[in-house]
Amino acid sequence: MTPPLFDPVIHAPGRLQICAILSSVDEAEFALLRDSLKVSDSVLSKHLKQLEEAGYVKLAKTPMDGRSRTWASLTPAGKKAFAAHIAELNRLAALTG
Amino acid sequence: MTEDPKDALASIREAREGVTDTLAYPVGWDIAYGAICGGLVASQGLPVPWSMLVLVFALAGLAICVQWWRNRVGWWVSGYSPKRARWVAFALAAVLVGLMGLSIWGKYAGIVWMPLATGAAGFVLAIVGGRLWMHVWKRELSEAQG
Repeated sequence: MTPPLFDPVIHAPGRLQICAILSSVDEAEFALLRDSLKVSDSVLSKHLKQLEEAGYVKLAKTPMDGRSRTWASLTPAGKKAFAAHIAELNRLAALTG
Repeated sequence: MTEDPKDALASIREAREGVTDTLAYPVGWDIAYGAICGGLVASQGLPVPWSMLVLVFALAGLAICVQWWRNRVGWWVSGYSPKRARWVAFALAAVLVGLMGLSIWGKYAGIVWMPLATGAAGFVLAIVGGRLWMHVWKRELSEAQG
């Protein structure tokens, strides 16, 4: 059981959704994340950079049809932090009834 | 920033549901996956060079299928990653390994039809197992709390 811990890096709405998607799969492509969040490329890049700097997300580029596509995945530290953040959200939600 | 924890949890659920919305895939995937698994099983009992040929085609087909899926849906999850659905993957792998053993046994026992029978069984069981895995994983995502 992961101990509850509020994480301000994860809690911002866009980053919370990014972590929710990445926690469900092994890796997700930039375009899928952008379309799911309904944000621009630059906004998503900013969110991903913040998560990457926190050590929560790993970014990898793969060539596809002559272009480079970015794939994102949660690091073990990211998985742990997200689980702790959700545990905290559940704890707070239980307190508010 | 979402202040209400219930709103935050709802947004997490919504984001995960977005992933499962992309889960409708064509029957062709089932057939290709079944054929790959059936080929891997049957190849163990086939004589050389057929065993090598079927094995190479099955592995190449697997690589093509993975690439096709990644390009089509924009995400990838290994069968062994989800906490609950992975047990379906382990069970399917165990059954396929068992069938491979039967194929090898048939080869040395001189039962020429054995690879065809085990390959056909692998084909069907892989399709059933694949669909079952997807069903369990979809439910796992919808019930996930973290």
